[in-house]
Amino acid sequence: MTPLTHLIAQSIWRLPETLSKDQRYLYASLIVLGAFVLVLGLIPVLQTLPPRGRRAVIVTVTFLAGLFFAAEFFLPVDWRSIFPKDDPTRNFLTPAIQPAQNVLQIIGALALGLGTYGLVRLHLRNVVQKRTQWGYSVVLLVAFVTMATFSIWNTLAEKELVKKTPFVERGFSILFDFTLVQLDAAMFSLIAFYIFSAAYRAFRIRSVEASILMFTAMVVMIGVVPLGAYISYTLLGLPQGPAPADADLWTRILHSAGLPTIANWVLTTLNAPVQRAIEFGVGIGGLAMAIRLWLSLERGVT
Amino acid sequence: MDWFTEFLPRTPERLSIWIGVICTLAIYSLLYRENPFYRFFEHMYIGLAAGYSLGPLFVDIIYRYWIEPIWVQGYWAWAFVVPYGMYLYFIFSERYGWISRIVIGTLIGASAGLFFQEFSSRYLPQLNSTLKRPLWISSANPDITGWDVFVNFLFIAILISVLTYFTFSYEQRGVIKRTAILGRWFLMIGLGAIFGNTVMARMALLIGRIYYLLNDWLMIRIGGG
Repeated sequence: MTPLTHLIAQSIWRLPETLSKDQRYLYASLIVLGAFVLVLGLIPVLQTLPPRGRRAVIVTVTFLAGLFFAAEFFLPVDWRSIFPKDDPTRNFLTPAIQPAQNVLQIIGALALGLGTYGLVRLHLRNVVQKRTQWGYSVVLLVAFVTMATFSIWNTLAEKELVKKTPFVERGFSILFDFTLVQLDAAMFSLIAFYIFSAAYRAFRIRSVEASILMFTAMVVMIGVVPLGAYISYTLLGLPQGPAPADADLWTRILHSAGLPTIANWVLTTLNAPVQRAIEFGVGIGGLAMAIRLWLSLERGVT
Repeated sequence: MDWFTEFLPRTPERLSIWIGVICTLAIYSLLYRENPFYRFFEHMYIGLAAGYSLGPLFVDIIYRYWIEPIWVQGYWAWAFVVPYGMYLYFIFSERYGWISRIVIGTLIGASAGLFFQEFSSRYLPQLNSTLKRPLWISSANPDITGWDVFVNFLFIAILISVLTYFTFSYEQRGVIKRTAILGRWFLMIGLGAIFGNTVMARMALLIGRIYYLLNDWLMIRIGGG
């Protein structure tokens, strides 16, 4: 085992198994309390740093966080030349990847909490200061508190930490299935109406590019729905699907020129390389941006 | 009369459907113009969405990755993660706001590090599959037809022309410029296809809503339902 693997597997990271349940709860609570005191106690120390020192701390943390994931990925898998007893299917950082990703999950959840806190804070201010249309803020806060209560209760009930009563089940169902899901579907389907005005602006034929865009969009839109098959096959009296094996040349040509076939060909043959080129552009741009962020070269972020 | 009795929200199931219908109609009322009915449900939607996320995205994750490992399994070192993450909440403080950037830096650094992995696992296989496309018929690939070769040539030509269009490192002139123009036309085909697909996806959502109103609420059975 490598030093890191050995370190992670060490029993020092775990409370002794000989402890009773109550003792474990007590010690765990005391350690969490101590961690809060220690980490929050660091703030006055950090606060004494000059602006340059503060930036150095942020840049170092950013670099180390990126370095860990980059190193885990780029280092050779087989590390036995240095650590002869190492597992050849992974390098010495791999065992720490899962815990590191769990840490990111926790911080991500706290970031979500931060967003929620910001939203509630803003609307509470609206209500307290009776700003314009503060009544809507009341609606938002009431909806938030009600749904948060049922959602948290439901989540805890699914983990069997609290009892799932019919009241919670019914209340959560009304709020989630019959209100939130319906509002969500209605809100996103609303875009269908606005996309038509966008289509009108996009499809006004003013240039070669606009004409190609319009033609392709039309072919795809009609070709992927039953209307395309109706126009191409039913109206012409042709059987749907691929041309029969014994069909004459003209029938085969008609089948190949059907809107569904053309739409499928456009999507798979012409659209696929375009998407891939865009993806390559995004990937290279993302890579450049990742390096800039990792090395704190991007201004205003760190 | 039977239809009307069944239509009314007299049972919990019917009441639930009526709630969904009121929500849908309130959102669609925006199509007429901005109105208090819409604003009420818009704020309710934001409140419900924010409230819902606390269950599966906050409590669930904190319990699974923090509370359970510490209190149930006894891994005490996890105790430091939440206090560290709590530094994020200093973002609202003018004096201590910079401390939140330490945690933000952790997230940004980790995302950058993870992107290297993503680049390799997502983009390199695509590059590999592009370069492995056979461009002629040989004994090494006997199953390839003339049409396949044409499609592969077309694929490479489109890819190169679109990538040329996105090359801004030098002034495009002559053959490069003509290739870039061709790339722009192909790009329009791609964008047209994306637009067409997007329109159809939104239409599917709209059809779903109309079906809900007609079938579930008004009980007009359509499509054999």
